[in-house]
Amino acid sequence: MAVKPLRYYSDKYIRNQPSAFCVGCGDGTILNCFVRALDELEVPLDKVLCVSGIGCSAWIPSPNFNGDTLHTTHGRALAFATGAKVFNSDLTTVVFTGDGDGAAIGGNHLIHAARRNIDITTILVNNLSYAMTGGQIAPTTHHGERTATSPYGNPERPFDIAGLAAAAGATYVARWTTYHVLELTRSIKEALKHHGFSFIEVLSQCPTHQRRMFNMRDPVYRLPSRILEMFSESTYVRGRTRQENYRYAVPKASPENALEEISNVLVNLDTEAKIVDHMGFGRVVRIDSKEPDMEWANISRLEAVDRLVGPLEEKVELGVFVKEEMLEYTDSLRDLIRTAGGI
Amino acid sequence: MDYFSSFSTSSNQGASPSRMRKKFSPIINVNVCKGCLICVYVCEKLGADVLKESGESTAMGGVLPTVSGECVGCRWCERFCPDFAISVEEVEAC
Amino acid sequence: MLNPGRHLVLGNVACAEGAIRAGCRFFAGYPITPANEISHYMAAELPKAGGFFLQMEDEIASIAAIIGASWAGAKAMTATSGPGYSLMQENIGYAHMTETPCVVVNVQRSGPSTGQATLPSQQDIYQAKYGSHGDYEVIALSPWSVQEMFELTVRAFNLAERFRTPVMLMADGMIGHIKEKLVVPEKVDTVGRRRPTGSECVPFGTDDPSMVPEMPRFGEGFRLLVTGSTHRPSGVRDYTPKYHQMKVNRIREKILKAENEISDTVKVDLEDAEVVVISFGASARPSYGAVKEARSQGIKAGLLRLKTIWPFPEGKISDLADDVDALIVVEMNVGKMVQEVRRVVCGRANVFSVSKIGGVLPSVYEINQVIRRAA
Repeated sequence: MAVKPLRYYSDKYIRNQPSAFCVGCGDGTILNCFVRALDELEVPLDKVLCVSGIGCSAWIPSPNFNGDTLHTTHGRALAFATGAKVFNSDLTTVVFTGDGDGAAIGGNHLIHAARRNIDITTILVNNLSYAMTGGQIAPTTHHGERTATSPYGNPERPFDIAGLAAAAGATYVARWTTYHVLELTRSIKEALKHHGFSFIEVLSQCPTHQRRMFNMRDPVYRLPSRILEMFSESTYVRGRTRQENYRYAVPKASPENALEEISNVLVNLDTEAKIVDHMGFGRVVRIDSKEPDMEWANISRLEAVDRLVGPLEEKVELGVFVKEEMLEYTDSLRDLIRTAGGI
Repeated sequence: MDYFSSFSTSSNQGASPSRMRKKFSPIINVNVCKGCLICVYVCEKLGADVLKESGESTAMGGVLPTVSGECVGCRWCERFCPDFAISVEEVEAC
Repeated sequence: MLNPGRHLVLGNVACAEGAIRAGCRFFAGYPITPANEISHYMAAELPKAGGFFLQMEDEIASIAAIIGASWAGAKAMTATSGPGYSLMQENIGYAHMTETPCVVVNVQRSGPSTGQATLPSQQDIYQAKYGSHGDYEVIALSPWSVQEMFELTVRAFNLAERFRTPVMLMADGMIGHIKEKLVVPEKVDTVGRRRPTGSECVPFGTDDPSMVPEMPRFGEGFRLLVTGSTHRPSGVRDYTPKYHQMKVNRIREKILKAENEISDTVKVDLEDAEVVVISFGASARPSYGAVKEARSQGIKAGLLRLKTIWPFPEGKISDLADDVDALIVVEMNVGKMVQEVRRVVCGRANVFSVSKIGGVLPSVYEINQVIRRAA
């Protein structure tokens, strides 16, 4: 398979540029992965239908994608898509939705589309807030986080949306981030090939609102990569265990003080320490040690260090969680027609 | 030790050293690039350092990347680019 | 499906039969009294016709599904009652904005809220016209018999396809739940939507005098942009006033300008009438009786029955106002259609209102009393 430059994909799959997304928005990267997956599967563009709801994620296909696009009402994309897919099952039907659009107002349609196992691929962009409308709490916003509608900290606990889709009966469920572009492209390919309800949650950077949410005081061109780095730091891939020996030191107050004290302790040890952004604990000091019998207790006792946390604590699990074949909805509808003696 | 390190930056043409190395050059479409610098971040992370920050800002408050040094055509910047604004073109090695 | 000929059937069943005969091959609904028999019949009969019956998770999903199916090429319908009809309004507005042909049946029950779930009313006629946000025009039909549950459903599909718009069939719990004679014709005339002729298509704009654009389908390579946001004829989003006015004016005028073709009324004893009863749907039945009784009492009474309630037949009623002394509007709500009549009559004749709520029909006696008082 010849390797193609990005211009090939934009010429063939992208309707108009520049997109309406903010600088460094993850939605553009998701569109990038999506068209690569389509291209590798050689899906005929005339047969691709992208349905989306309301929100930033809805603009991934509409108007950017050069195929049939249906931009519907808030939360209802899956119900619209069900009608189209049932009536014409030749359509490779993909729904783009967001964490608010798909799991808040659209939650009822999500769990029922999953339960029915209709052959639709749903890509849910999780940017942890309602971005288009100004950064309100979403069902995925972490407890305590400050948003436009939680100036004193979010009083609610978030969903595990991939878990929700799996529990509702989706037969392909995966979660990636906009950092894991190769895995996401492959996963979209698998989802498109999968005969049944495929659900991919994609943790995505939203520099505009996650700036406040994660307290990142940086100019707009620093934030995208900083958030992507945080995604890489704050996630682990199921089944991809690595034996590095590292911990995070959660500072009492300023991470810079903690780093200073920690560096003094590590002076002649084969160990590195640096400040990183961690979605679960904020700015912390990551300590990577190659010492066989590392004395972690020395670090947790330091003045500026509140506590030490393990490598996987408060991290988001990525990977393919469900992959099974089961009776698909449009197939069973056609069985009814045969049973009823219809054409 | 990072996820990236498992993907070598050698040109994914699998060009063996004996064959004449292909040359690549990333072309930036400045009308479309919003200056998010994700490509620069990716390139730095791979230790290639071909894409750098330019001094030029974009209309939306970002900073345009610029190309310097030897691109090996690993195309990771293309996989990340949210605006389809960078395209690594093959250039015949002189 | 029923064979051509005479049958004794439930109103709701006649509606579903009419839909299938009109070419409906996709139905999505959600259980609600008093509309359930439509779904039951569709569940049994659509598969036989190679069509799809879906029971969705709620009414919002039901209207969404039929719009999606319509853009995949289906003639599609949903049926509900008051509470579900309220839930459907946002997507009904979406169907107007995207000019999606589909049929929405509202077997009206007595509200507000849960109200008298099994009893009929005509209380949702304003919701049919103004239910969703924004400006748009509506076609709404009102059957007064089992035969018209069949005929007006067929007509609803033909109007929906002809004008590329959702059409409301405003039935009610009584008409839906009575059994009457239904004559199923040998052949039903059906209309298809304007289809693209060439490889190019402008899905939301036309120079055709009908003001109804060609309608492509998903999967035909037109790379469609369908959106509820204001858009240009090509479908590309454009929020500027010019394109919004162009869009909204066209989707309204394509219906208002065709009022003569759409409007369908029945005249009874109007030639020399001095007192005219105006009514529609179920309440037109006792009105008919009251007019006949008045005639037997030597009163020159007449009935104008509206089979199409929206667009409102302003012309006909305005003409009546010059010729008669009094108009009496009979309806099963607190007086809604009477407002339209008063607006049009503008004082040129007395306008009386017989408005009955509580889920019971106005009686012949009640209406006759008002006719005698008005004469």
